[in-house]
Amino acid sequence: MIRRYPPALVAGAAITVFMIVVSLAAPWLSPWPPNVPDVGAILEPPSWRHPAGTDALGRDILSRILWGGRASLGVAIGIVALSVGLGALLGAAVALAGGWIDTLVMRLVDIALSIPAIVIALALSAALGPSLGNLVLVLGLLGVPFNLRLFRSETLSLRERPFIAASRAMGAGFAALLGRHILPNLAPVIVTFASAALGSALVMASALSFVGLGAQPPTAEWGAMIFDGRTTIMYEWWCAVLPGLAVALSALGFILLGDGLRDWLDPRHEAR
Amino acid sequence: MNTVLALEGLGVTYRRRAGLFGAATEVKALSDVSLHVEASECVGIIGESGCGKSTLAGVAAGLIDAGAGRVRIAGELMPRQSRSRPLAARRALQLVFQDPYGSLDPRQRIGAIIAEGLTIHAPAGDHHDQVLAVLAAVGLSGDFINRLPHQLSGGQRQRVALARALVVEPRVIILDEPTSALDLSVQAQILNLLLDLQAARGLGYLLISHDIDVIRHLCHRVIVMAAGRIVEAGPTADVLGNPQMPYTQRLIAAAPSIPGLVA
Repeated sequence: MIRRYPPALVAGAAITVFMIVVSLAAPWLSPWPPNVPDVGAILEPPSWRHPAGTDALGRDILSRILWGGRASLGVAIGIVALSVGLGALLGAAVALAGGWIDTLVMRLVDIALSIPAIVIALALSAALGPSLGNLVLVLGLLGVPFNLRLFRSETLSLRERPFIAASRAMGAGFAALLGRHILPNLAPVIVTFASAALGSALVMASALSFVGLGAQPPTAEWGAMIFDGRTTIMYEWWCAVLPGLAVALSALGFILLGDGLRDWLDPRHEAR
Repeated sequence: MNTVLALEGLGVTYRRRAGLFGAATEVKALSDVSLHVEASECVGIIGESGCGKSTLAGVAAGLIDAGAGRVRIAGELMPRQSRSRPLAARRALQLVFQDPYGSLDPRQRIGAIIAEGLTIHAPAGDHHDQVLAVLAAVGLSGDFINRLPHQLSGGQRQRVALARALVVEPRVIILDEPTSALDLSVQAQILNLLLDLQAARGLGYLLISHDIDVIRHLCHRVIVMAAGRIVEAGPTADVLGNPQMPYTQRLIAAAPSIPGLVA
């Protein structure tokens, strides 16, 4: 039987793989070094020499977009690994444990979710000092409560399945239930959700870099590049618009990939 | 006599609250249920949906806390808290579920599913030979080890569920509607397999079913339950042939009978 892949999955996977490969290959693909100013080529429009133009310091925009992908995509992946990974692990553990642990943790999650995350992210990033590492830490940890709640409810329905009861009746302990049955069965949901979350993590990280709390000059990063290009956007549009397109295209790729994975891994969609 | 499972005056009460501020109502899922299963004996439980059959299985299997009464497995008294039940007792009593789709982890291979009990109860050593032996005992070949549950038919899946129970060498198995999800011809095969295994290993069975024919085929004694209580009990021929209680008479009259299928 040939299984047809949903179009969203194909498109999303193609865009995502393209963006990641191109970013990883930046040292070989970039026509210019990303951080070397050239006073002879300031704010040049796109041309054969500079396919995406140059910025106010004469740096090649295309090279900076390619290098910036490493920072921007790397940060997004780090944030998602932390927030979805930790959230899924804690959510599954809390749901499986049940009782007062579950009640206590969920009240804490309610409190955490009632605090505006972006304000906390701004304050914490400023307090810890702006850097990409701190950005990952702050945005990653701030995403944990939301993911914890999501994967807790997934686990609650998983927990009632007969194969879990069979394992419990056999005498399987907490760690065995979690590691052998719950987490492997959550894996498709985790992968799907992580992929969609990459899109919003990328946008969020770019936004914080835009306000100066992420990448520091001269590091190439998409959000920081948009910030650098904002003053000239009405005339030398390529400085801000082209990195913005890179953010938008990557986010679209991640979201399509997430949608496609959800459709593809959901057994109820298999019949079509 | 060699009693492998005894329930004495078992009671379970669920408290339900209607909304956050509603009054709590108590539902008695089981009250004052006593029964015993001997080695090499099959005891059947019949009753309508919601009569407490599955709660009974859950308490006996250590999945639900007993509110009142005692559970003894192979003579040993179980703690009321299901989670403090000793491992040796979990080994002695095994459970086979109704739904052969849901009772096998869809992401584990058959070999791992069957070996799980061994990894819990006999962690040392290689389990491969034991898994092969028990697969053969339930009539499946060794190449099933590497398959996934969704590649198996319903009957094959129920054989795997049985193999998972048998591999730890239990004294008593609770069979919760073991054939109701299967085709009629497969049902007969599984029932005959259950009889063969009982004869070879001296297993005690507690068989929960609403299929009168299955009960008649397998069980030495029958217990009739309604609303969490035992309303009638006795040898199978007496209870099914000459029911005393009106409830039992209605239950038996309501069952569709296919003569000659299992006899």
